[in-house]
Amino acid sequence: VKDGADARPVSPESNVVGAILSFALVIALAVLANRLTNASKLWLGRELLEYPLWAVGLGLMANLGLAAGGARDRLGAAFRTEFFLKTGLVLMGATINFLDILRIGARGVVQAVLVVTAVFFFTWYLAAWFKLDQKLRALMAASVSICGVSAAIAAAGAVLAKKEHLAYVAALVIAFALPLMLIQPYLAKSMDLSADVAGAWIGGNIDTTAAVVGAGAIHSEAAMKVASVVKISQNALIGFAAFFLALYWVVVVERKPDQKPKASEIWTRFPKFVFGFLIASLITTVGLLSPEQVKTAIVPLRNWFLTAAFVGIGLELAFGEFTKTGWKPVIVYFIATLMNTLLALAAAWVLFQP
Amino acid sequence: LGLATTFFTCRSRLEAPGHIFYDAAHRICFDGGRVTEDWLAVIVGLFLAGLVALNMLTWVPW
Repeated sequence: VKDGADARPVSPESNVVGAILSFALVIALAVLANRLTNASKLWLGRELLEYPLWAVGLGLMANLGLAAGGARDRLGAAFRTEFFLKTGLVLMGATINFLDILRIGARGVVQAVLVVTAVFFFTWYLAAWFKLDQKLRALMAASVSICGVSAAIAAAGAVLAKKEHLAYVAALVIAFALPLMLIQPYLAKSMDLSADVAGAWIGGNIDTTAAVVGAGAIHSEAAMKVASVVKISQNALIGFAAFFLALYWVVVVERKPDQKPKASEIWTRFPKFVFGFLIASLITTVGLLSPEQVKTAIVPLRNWFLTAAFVGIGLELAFGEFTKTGWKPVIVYFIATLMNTLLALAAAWVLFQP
Repeated sequence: LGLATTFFTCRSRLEAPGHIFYDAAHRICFDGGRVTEDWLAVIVGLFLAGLVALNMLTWVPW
């Protein structure tokens, strides 16, 4: 998605100005989201909306405003949702005991392998039944089953998909993740799920990691941690998924067994921020960070980065993409998401029930 | 943080040997010289956690 935008011929000077302006916009919207959350607490005695919702809502409004004014592409440089999110997740590592990560992560990997495999093949064959383009099928199956936009990017690299397909799937992922981020935590509360099961359900279902963290935060602090660890377990599988997808593509689809991908692809695609997350957790677990330091500095820092990420997902939604590929992929994505929701709930219930 | 983000957002468009961003990226030298969002997140996240652990950052408003 970014490659398409980066290909525009623009002068370095205007890039730097654009990057500074867009960064200022992201920060201003994050501060506004925080102020609105706190103001509603002050005036109403409770949060009117949780901070992820304020942030995404403000991001969406700014997105529409910038698109109407024709400035969205020029100001897109600092809409770095992934960077803000991953930094927030590294800091979140410092709020979780390492043994808890091992406990949740082990079950999260089992859940990820079961759900990802089932949802990937379900979406793959469903999209074939709808006669979608083969490369678009690969992107959709990877994004709905693994971890949204990052998985779509990895799959696009594995099958050499077109940029238009990637942009379309990225828009689809965010368009589905936003309502789920809003609905799923309330659904989990109304079903009276424990924080562990709710978090595992959210982490195993919602495609894009930013929306997973947002939905977890809307439910509870405990659910946010479980959802994040479960999602990170899924993210960690992305390298293997990209490798096997590329292998399948050259051997079965294109029948070029001499061009097999290298095992180093697994490392290339591995989300390296996971190391930061684990190191940060170890720093806390061995006592280098006290609970007081975590509470007064790490948690607020984490929240600021996550708020910037939530603003970013609102800003990055490309509404125009939906008019390009028709409604068939939307229907496939909808059915696949329903399937994912049910399977992830079943897996979370079996694996995370206390 | 502002510096880091500006650095990162500029690198994809200003990549050329001799350019300050390009050279800085190669000095850090991850993933064949490209500073990815993942590694930058690790650097910024652990740097901030380090500041807190060393009591150089004791309180952040929220």
